[in-house]
Amino acid sequence: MGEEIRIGVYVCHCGKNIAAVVDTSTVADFASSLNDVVVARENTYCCAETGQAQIRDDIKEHNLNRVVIASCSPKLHEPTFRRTVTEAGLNPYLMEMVNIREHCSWVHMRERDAATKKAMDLVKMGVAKARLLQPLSDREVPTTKNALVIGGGIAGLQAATDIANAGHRVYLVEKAPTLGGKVAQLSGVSSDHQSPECLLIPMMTGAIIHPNIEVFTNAEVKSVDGYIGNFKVRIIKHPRYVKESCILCGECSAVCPVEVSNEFNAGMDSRKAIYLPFEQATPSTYVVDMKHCTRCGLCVESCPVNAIDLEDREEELELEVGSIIVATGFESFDPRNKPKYSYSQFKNVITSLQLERMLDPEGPTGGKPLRPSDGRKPTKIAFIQCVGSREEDGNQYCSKICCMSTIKQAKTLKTLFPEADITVYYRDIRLTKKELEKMYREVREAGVLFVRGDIKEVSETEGNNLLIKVHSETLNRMISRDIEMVILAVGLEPCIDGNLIKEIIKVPTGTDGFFMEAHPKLRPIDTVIDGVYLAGACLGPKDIAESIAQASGAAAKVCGLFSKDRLKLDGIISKVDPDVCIGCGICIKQCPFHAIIEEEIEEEKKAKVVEAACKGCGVCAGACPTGAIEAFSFTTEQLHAQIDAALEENPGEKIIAFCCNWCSYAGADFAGVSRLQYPTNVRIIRTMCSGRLSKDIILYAFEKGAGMVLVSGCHPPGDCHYVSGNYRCEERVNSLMKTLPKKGIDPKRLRLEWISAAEGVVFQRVTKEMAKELNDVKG
Amino acid sequence: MTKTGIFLCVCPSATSAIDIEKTAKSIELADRVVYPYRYLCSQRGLRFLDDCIDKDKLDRIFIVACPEDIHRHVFKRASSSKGPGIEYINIGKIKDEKGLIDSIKERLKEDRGKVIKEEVMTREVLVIGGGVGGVQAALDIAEEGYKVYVVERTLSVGGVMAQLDKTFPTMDCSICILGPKLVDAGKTPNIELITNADIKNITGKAGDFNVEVEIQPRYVDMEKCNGCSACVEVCPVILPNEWDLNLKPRKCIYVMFAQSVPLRYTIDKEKCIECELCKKVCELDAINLDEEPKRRTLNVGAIVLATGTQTFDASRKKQYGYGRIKNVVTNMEFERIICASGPTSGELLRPDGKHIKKVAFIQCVGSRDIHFHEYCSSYCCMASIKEGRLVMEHDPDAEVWIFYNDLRAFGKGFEELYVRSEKEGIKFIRGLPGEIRENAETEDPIVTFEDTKTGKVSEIGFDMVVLAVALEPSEQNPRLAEMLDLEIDPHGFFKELNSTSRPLETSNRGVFLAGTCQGPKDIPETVAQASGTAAKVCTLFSEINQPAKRL
Repeated sequence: MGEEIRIGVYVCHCGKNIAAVVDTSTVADFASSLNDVVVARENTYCCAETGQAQIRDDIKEHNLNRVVIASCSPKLHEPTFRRTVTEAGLNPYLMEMVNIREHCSWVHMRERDAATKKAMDLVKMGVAKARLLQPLSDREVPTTKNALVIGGGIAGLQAATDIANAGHRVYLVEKAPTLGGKVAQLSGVSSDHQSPECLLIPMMTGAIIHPNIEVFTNAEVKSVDGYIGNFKVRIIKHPRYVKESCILCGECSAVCPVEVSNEFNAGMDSRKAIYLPFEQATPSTYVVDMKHCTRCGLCVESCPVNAIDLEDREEELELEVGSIIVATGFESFDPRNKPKYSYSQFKNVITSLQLERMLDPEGPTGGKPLRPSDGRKPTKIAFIQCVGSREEDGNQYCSKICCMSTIKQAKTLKTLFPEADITVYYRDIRLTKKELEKMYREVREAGVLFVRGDIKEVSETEGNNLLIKVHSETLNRMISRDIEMVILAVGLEPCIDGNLIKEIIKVPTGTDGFFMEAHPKLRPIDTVIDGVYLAGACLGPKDIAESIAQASGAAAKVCGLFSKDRLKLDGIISKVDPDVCIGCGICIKQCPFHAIIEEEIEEEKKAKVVEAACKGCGVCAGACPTGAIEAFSFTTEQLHAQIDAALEENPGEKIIAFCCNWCSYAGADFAGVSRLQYPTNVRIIRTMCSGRLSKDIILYAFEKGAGMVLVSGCHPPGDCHYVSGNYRCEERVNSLMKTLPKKGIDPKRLRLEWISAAEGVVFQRVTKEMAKELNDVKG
Repeated sequence: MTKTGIFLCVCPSATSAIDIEKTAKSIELADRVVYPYRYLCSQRGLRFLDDCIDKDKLDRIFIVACPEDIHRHVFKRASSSKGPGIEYINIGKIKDEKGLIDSIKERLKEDRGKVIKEEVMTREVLVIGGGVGGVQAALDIAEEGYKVYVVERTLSVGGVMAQLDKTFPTMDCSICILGPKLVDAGKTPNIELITNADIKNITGKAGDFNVEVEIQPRYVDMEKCNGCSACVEVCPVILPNEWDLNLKPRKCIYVMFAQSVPLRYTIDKEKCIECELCKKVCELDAINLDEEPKRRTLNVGAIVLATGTQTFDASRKKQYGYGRIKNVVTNMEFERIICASGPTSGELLRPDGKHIKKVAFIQCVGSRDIHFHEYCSSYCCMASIKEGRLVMEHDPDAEVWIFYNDLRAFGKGFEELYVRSEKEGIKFIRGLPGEIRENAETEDPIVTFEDTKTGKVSEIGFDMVVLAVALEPSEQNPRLAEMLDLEIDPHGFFKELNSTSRPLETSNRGVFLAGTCQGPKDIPETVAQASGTAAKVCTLFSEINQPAKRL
């Protein structure tokens, strides 16, 4: 092109976050010595208004045409700095970030010199890449202003209602035959004992009659394709076997001979195979449970309006939506997994959910919390907290709502049975809302006893009574207590269906199994996938008010998205050079998004990228045998330049770590955020997907003398942001492993690891191991 | 003859004390029918309602049920195709059937069919408070396409979060993640930041509020100043910097903090000696020492309250000696002490220059204490764990003790951080200290406490004691509540319409709540809730925009 390259380099102090470890002035001096660098400066905070102004001024004053910012992770500030350079008239893709915080100062806190050297290397790599950056233009795509909400519990209902009220169409998909979710099972929902009906029924009815909401119950999401503004969703509507003309007379249920345990009442009574999930179930139509139905046909005969059709079939629908809200909720912990509580073994050990059902006037016991064994009023009652929460060997997290729920239940029991002895065995009472502390005091004043201790065992004595052994913290010894009914305050767990959704939509989950937000502090609703938002307890334990507030927040994000007719998508895509393409078609097969098609140019077959469908993963570029495809911003030339720069000095002592943007790079960031220290000889090179890497690129690193090479990506099967890029990467690495010895390279020097965004610890472990191995080989 | 249908919702939580049959009997006449129905707001109930309107050819309808705002959206839609408008009678305030009968009869006498005028609608929004909650609400509302004014009392948006060093549980640098959001708010064309300003008066209602704002003079022209700081160099007046809780100096002409938005200088006029050195040095001629306060009237359709909280005055808890004992500090002061941009540039030093090697954190100072605030402030346990970790990061050999009552690590990733911190050496002592004394010689605070796990009473000296202070409602709340006709809860926070089901709305239809002005909250909860208010604004604007209705 002949254009003179003029680079500006900015080394951020990030207050002391970087500057306390890395000698930033040395790094800036070093940067100014590099070819094509016209100006290199330090800045206390590059992201502050003054920092950004400095960059903009320099671009104008020094005619900069490339900018390198050595600061934090691009995952944090790439959008910020892209905008900064745009404001000064530069193409946003001519800015390169160098991560000297998460990948350097925070992980080498006690190695100032080595960290400074590493930061210099990283800057050199960034400058090398920056020289080769190309201006790209953002793509504009139209938006479909319909939204999909997955989950018809309280959060999904709130989100759907808010979006619909703003005038947009909403598809609300719920897997159960009725809306309502877990809240429907509660007997009272708040500290003021508001009836759940008043909360839930108007919300369910409001959704079902809303002209902008289409409700699909008994339905599941099967697949999601596309991207923000343009998702294509396939849903399966399972047959209900009962038509909407059902008049709820109940004749069918009366004649049905099949009895099944009633999940709505937490298994405390039974229902028929044709049933109404609960009185106010919405849509209010009976449903057949085909798993248990014997197709005897008695119900069909009994129905006065011919509403039953046992031949009803599954339907599959395709919906086009611009945005998706995931509100799949939670599951209650199953205490059978913890033998010490003897749940399901002894009749009078029940869960907090079962107690909720018993307290409901329409529940299995008509609102009376009686002993399941004999229907007698219990006089000695114990609540056990943290069942399935805060465990070393199970769910580590706190489930947040169980203390509140127990206090509410204890208060109700004390009102019903004033003379009963009620004890709560707990570790910490965790109440968070402003009105709860008062309630806690009132419950204690009413005589409920709170004992801090650790339950060792629940056993049964005569007459189905129970004996619990507790290590009391206050007395610092074991105590035993006779109890007539034990209530286990069970924790919350991620929803199993959430896992399916995770596979379908690719929203990552954390180590706790709940969905991960884009940023735990400031982006608690967004996901890493544009256009997909989270609401409610699918993110982690939450109370009702919090779920509702967050659901409205998710709705606001959708409304914001839909306020514009066209969306901008970034310019990172792939492009085929038809002169080099041999028309082999490998890329077409490997592209996870069917974004490459075949076209004929002068009677020769050539590959062509469909730009609107391309997601920029670069899997095609990694696959192309002739190098005809370039993945913009991650071109082979750019990756080579980074490798060259990283290995200019002492290559044999260095570990090149290729990290995919979504999981392993984020995992390395997480190691930084968690201050997990690892060896300083690691040099991370980011690609969008591990599938971007070709065998040649990996080999290039060895040719340049790299001591070790780490290739890392998202966990198979489901984590890959680009569906199957990780598998393509695995195939290539495996095949390369076989050929390495022929080239005189010990295959031990190449390692493939799957590292998720939450696995900073794994990144630390792997790099430590590799450094040790490298040392052993050398030694 | 008009035929009137009175639909009486029978719902266990509202009508258990009312004899429905008796009520019906005493009201029914030839042209008046009472229809009791269990859960009228359910899908079945609506079908029943529709059927009755058709079958009995009703042309006037009353719905006697719980408060209208819970179910208005349901009945409104059900009846819209059927002709007669709906009149509501709130059953929530009625205690027995006599009250119910009286109020129904009273309403029957009233003229029906008052047509309310089409509501005036201004599609602009006011956000009061420019902390992280207010800024997030403004960003999301602006994204929806509405104009937003953010009125902030101080010189910059950012709020308390801007003063923090790191955030839990990820230990992210607070200003690093907040800074860009503030810059965003400053740059979004639909957002106008009105800083250094007070709300003087508010009149009107949803769709049409008139807000009087008084903007205090900065004595520096915002249009001309470019934040170059030449004035600061020459200013001879040195004052304690409130931003660093007076632990660090500033000049009389100053910005609140390095990342301030807007980044414009201000003269602290009370302390200014009018030497005019700044005026001479300013090449942009931006300084105007005679500037007067300005008044503006904003016409907005909705208001988001994001006034945040203030911290408890720790000197009120006398036994901890705050204010008397030099090395007893609040956690907000400690955030500045440990922050890289703070008074000691992030070195862990006491005012006397001694390195801090042994720190105690005391929880529940002003919270969960019937003498002060009964509620739990909810942020403090995690804040102390975070600060304790930062101490150990600065100095791996440092000793950190946290004295607590219940350790409330209830949020996402919190328990995990607590467990990790305990493993890594933070000492957690169950039991709040009784008192703190000062060693007169070393100036070390001495903490007396009983460890409830062992029952042992001990006395230990520390280099510094950090008090985790309670969050209190902002002092602005009562005034704003009066102007907007809002309820305040017993603690002084704004009261939401319903603490479980309507956490974002208030009794004033056009006013919404974001963040800690409603009660203590952490950052993500504040941010999520703030985004939620944007949806409520959107809903309100679409509701009000509907054509006039007969009531």
